[in-house]
Amino acid sequence: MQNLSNNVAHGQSLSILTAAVELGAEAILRILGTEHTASTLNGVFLTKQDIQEALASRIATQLAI
Amino acid sequence: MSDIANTVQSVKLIVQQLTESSQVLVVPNPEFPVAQFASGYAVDQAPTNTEVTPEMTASVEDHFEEMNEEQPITVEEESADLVSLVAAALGKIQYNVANVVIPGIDSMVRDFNERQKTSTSADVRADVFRYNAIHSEPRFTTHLQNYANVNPQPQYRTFILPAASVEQIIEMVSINNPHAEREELTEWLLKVDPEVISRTYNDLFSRNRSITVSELPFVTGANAPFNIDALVLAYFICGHLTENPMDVIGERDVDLQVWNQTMRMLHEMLGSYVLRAYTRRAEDYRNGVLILRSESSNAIANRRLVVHLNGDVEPQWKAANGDISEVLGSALESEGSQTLTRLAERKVYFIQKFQEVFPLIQAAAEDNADRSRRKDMIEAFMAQAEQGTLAEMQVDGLREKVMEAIRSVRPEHLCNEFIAFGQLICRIYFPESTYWDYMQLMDRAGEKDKEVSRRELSTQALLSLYAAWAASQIRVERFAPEVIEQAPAALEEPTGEEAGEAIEDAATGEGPLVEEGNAEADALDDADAAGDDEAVDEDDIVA
Repeated sequence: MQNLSNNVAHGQSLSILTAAVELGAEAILRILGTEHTASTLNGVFLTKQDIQEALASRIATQLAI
Repeated sequence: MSDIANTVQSVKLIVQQLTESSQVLVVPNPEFPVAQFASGYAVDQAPTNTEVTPEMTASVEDHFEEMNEEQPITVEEESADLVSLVAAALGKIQYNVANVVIPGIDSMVRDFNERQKTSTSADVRADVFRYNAIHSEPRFTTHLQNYANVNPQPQYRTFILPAASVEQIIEMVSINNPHAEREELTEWLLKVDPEVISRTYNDLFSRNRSITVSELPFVTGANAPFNIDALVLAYFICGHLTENPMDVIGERDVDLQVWNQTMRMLHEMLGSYVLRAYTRRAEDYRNGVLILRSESSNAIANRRLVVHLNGDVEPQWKAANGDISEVLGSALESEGSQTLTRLAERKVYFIQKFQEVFPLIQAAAEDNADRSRRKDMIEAFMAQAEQGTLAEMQVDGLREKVMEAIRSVRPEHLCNEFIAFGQLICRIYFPESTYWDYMQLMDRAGEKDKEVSRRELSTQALLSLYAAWAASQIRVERFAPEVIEQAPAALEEPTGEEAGEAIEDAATGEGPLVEEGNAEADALDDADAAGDDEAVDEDDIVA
């Protein structure tokens, strides 16, 4: 277990999770609304913010946070 | 709100939770796409060694946003390249799933269900054999009486003749036939299996120059009355050839007299057999023979019980409220013919017999279906893999690969053909696990909400697939927080000299002991002092 200052740990986690979410949201935005993928969920149009929140939550679930 | 602020907004609660529990995210391999994307962000690395407080986390988040509001062009370009790569990879998975995997599964499931129908359903039925109208043509039936005194021989002379197509044979038989109208004959022959038409001609004129009557399938009594069409066809062919000689293959000394005599003998022999068949038909009708023949040997093991009813008698039986169970039950007793009278005598017994045995036949069929499930899956896969988009994706040794892959499909998945074929297609054509993961995610999303369209399921699955992929690059580690306790500074007693200087300063209007009378100015001074303190703190974090 390494010693870390809380602020450094917080910044590191923030950059990694932000990167994961931003990379995914940008990529997914490019392919939504095609023949195979809807740009809606339950009929509601998905904004980038919706995608970011969905990705953050699903990544957290995968990481068992 | 800026882009980065929006993203931070969506992750900050999760990150705060991590930091509060002394956990930190780590990407172990700097080559991972998430690590590469994260390396484009500026992050404050200077430790403050303070406790986790809302102020501390807010300060880190604000500073992160501020530093990454705008990124250098080179970083932006690298990030855009990464986004393009990820989008292309996700788009490829979606395309292949939508255009190759799902259509493949659909066609394989359809094919498999057809095969399973044969495997699961017991072949239990009663077919009605109906004579074609040509067999009741008075001109013909009357003419046949001419052969009443013919005694057929066991063997006959014949010729090897040029091959004839089905169309040519139909023409031979239907043109200038004295026994029926051309249209009637053509209509009849169009209903006869073309295979039977060819075989009948070949049996007479293609094998050798000698015919053994008992070897002719259309003459053999065991096949009666189901061979009646072939028998009458053979008679008509010989009748035509008697009047229309042809070149004989392999014989030079066949003159018209030999030809006529040979054909006439064959014609008479066949005429006598047609007469016998029609006589038997009339007898069957008179005797009320309803069941002509049954196929019921080992009915349970073979899952097959078929009864052939006499079309001449069946209307009578139907009119008397005939029960299908009685004929099927009778077939279980005997495979031979059965009359209406005998059926009526043992009707109750036959019905009971059938009701006892039928569930066993059905159970045997279901057992067989389970056994044949894997086999049917392999055959359905192979048949459909040769069609559609899958056919374009050449795989060497496909059958061996399918057989190997099906061994690793879990038994509970074999029960669901959609899952089984999905796994097989993904394992053989798209071995990367992401394809099967994506399929499963679509399936789970569909289970949660049955009303959602396939496109929306695809979107749901895409989000989950990306989340799983991104999370696979990240590790959560515990860390030991470095916190330096800052004890309040102790107040030291002034020395006598210091106390004296202070009193002196106060007397001259200077120093800390001077009392200021202006309260408003004091407040402003306090506020300035507080602002200076904050500025210092922030500088410390930046540094």
